[in-house]
Amino acid sequence: MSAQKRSAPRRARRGEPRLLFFLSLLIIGLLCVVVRLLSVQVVEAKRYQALANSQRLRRVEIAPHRGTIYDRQGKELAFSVDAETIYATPYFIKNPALVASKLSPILELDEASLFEKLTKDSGFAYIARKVDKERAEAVRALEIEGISFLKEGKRCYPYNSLGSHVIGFVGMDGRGLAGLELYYDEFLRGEPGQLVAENDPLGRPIPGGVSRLTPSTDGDGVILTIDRDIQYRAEEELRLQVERFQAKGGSIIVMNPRTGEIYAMANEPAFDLNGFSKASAESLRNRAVTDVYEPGSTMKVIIASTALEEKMHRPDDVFHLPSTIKVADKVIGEAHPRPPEDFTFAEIVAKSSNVGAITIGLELGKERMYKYIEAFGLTKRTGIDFPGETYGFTPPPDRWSGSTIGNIPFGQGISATPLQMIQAFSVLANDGFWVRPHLLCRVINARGEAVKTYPEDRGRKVISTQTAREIRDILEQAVNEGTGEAARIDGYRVAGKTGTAQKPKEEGGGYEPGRHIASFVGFAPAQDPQLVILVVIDEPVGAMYGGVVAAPVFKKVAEFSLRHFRIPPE
Amino acid sequence: MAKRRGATSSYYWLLGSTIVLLLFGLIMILSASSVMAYAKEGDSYYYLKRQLLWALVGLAAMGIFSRFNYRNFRKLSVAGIILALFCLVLVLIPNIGRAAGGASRWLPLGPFAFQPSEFAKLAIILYVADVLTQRRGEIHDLTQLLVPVVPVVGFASALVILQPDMGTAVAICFVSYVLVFLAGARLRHVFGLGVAGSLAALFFIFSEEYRRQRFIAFLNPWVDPRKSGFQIIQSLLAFGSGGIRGLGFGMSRQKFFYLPAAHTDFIFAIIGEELGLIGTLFVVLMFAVLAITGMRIAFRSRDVFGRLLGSGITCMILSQALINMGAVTGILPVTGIPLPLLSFGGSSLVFTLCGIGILLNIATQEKGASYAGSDMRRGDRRTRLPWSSSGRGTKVSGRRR
Repeated sequence: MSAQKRSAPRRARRGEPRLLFFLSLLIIGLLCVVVRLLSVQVVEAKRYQALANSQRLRRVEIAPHRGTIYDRQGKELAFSVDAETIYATPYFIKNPALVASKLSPILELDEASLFEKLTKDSGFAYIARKVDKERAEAVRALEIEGISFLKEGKRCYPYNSLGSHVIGFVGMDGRGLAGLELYYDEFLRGEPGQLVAENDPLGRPIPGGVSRLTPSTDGDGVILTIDRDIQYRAEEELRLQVERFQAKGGSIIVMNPRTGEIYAMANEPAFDLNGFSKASAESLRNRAVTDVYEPGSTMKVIIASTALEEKMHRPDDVFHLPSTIKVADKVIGEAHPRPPEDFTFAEIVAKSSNVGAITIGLELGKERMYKYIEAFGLTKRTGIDFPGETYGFTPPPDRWSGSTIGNIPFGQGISATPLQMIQAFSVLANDGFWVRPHLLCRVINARGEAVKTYPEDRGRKVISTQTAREIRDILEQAVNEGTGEAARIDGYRVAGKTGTAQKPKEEGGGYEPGRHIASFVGFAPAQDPQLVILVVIDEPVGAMYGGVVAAPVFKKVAEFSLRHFRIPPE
Repeated sequence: MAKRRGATSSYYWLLGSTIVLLLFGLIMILSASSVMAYAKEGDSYYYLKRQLLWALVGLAAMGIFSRFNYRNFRKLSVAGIILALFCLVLVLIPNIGRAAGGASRWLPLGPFAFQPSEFAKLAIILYVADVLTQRRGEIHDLTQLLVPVVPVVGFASALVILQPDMGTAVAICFVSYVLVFLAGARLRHVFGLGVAGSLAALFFIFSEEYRRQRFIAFLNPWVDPRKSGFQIIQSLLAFGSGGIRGLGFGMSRQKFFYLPAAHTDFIFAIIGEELGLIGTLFVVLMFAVLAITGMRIAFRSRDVFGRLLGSGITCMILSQALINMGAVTGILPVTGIPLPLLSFGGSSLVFTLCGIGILLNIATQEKGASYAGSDMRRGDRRTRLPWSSSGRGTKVSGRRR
């Protein structure tokens, strides 16, 4: 009993330190929490704060309203409408499979790909971009946590394929991707605004949360030199002709030779601007600006202008032309073989004599010939306000082979874009001045005031006015009694030149038999040219001459345009 | 009131810190829950009103228990544990227990619900403290120690785990274990039990997929920030956003559906976000006051039972607080244990206040701060300490009355 009594205090003494020990454990535990709190709330606070903000602060870009593109009459060629983009914060999607199955029927998207987007390891994933109001509302009604909405402008092209190559298109991000949408993007796109708001996981603003709004600035309107009606007519006639001759393609340009304004620029094949993503790469090119071709006989006009300007000949000089001509190792004859004959200088152009053109070319010599080819702008870009312009190839004189001088006068062994070619003819129509071609008329702001106007340009003198007029008479003769008869328009004086060129082999070295490029370039009215029109048809089947294939298109488009502009007949 | 005169400081410190934490909790519940309450119930004050009601019930219970001689619990401890075990079984029966969030933890009680595990925590403390007091002579004998304690605690924990509520089970085992230690068991026994308990805990963690996930998320929440790591990351973001001074009362951003269970298990995070380090340190300080006064009350208790009961209740409150604060700050795995006195939850609040009521009663029966202090300093413990008094505390109590 006494032993037990003695042991009790010992236990007691042992018990008290244990209480103290345990209390200190509790205090140590609390101190651990304190240390941790100091770490999270002081040392690393900034990092967590930034993370918290990044998940709550939605920097919503307010897309500016993209400017409208108008034709010269003020018709809308491209405009933006409000559309909604649906995006997800995958982080907050609790049940991706269920959400995918709910969204799939509304958005008509594949469930598996939706699931993939919803489970993406990121804080942002587009679900569907630029959907119409009804679908956006249907998705909104589901009130899915982690699904948010964004207003974005959707680009609309009311005339679908009209002016497709010129107007170009806009990417999903609202930036111009091609054509004038790209070239004048800086005016069209405007300045995006920004809404910084603190949102809950459903994307609803947190009351009392941060919110800053920087309003967006809408894009400016762009008025083009394009005339919707002429553009439409040009496209239509080109398309019909390409179809009729089962051609590979074609281009047409209608412009004002005085001002350089382009009224129409079209190519075949074209594409629907509202579905550009489905168009073939082949159809997206603005061939009139980006592709080159061998101009063929239209080149003879440049050679003739040079000879007249250099005062080597008068239009009525008579040439005795053999049926063929030998240059270096090559014998060149006419397209339609003929016996040796007398041609006037004018007839050489009007009847498109290869032998005659080469004869004149040989007289000019390569240096002078090159100088004028350069002066007419065939060796460099025109500088049109359009992205991706290329220029043709003219070999510099020091690299001409023996036969080059026998090719270039009738437009082979030299290449140019359709735009370069029509420019060269504009010089003739514009009394010898080269004026830069352009598509922009002016940029207007929301109040309709001009922000920028395409600068007027007197142009660069290439040949004398007299030479230009003389050539015009010759070209009128070409239409009236030469190869271009199909271009004649009742009541108007028309000047023009046909061109038929063999297509060079793609691999080089010679020409493809049976494959031609038929072209016609002309202007009207001949005595006071208001319009220059170039038509190029690539690989027509069943006919090959510019006078047959291209000239009728010129005629129809020119006829329409003359009436459209109310240019009185003679 | 005369009987309280001698126990002034402990009693009032405990009462004070409890009331402060309780009021603080009510305010923070309003702030943390108003958004969700409005969204779900259409009434911003929905959770506050309920918690207020429970607080009144709890305060009443605390008042009653503070006047109820704790020594009488020794007679009630067996009945208490049987009732607790019965309720724990009942809650597992599908049509009786009410499930929420994948766990069946509630027994319906009219418009309210009662969480038997909260009651079980208190019952276990009473029971274990009683048994260990009874067996204090055989405390060195492992079998004598284990036979009554381990089966009951084990059974209760197993029932709780089945709910499933691993966190509460751990708390129950831990408190029992601490009591065994405080009762003076041999250190090697204590150590052995600790190893066994840890192994069992690890087994349970890895036997259940969601616990394993939570554990992995605890080790590195960024492994799966979308699911298992979500809560802890959102919690850390709340603490971090608060910084030192906080965003201001009511200004929490994370409560807008980012942080789940903002008003229950994660209320500490909302405190951290709205009131910053100042707020969180204040809470920690209040719990430190609770820990020190609680242990002081146990320390000064004149009998073994009071000493074990007092430290058991303190241990229960503090261990839950530590587990919760540790979990929300990312130093312990998330277990779903509420922060005592602060988190929304009626049963937890009521039984925590009951426990504090008991502590208050123990405090009233101290001999008086000055007396006990001088007593110890003289080293004349033998005659004063409960161990030396031959019998049960009732005798002492009887003398006082």
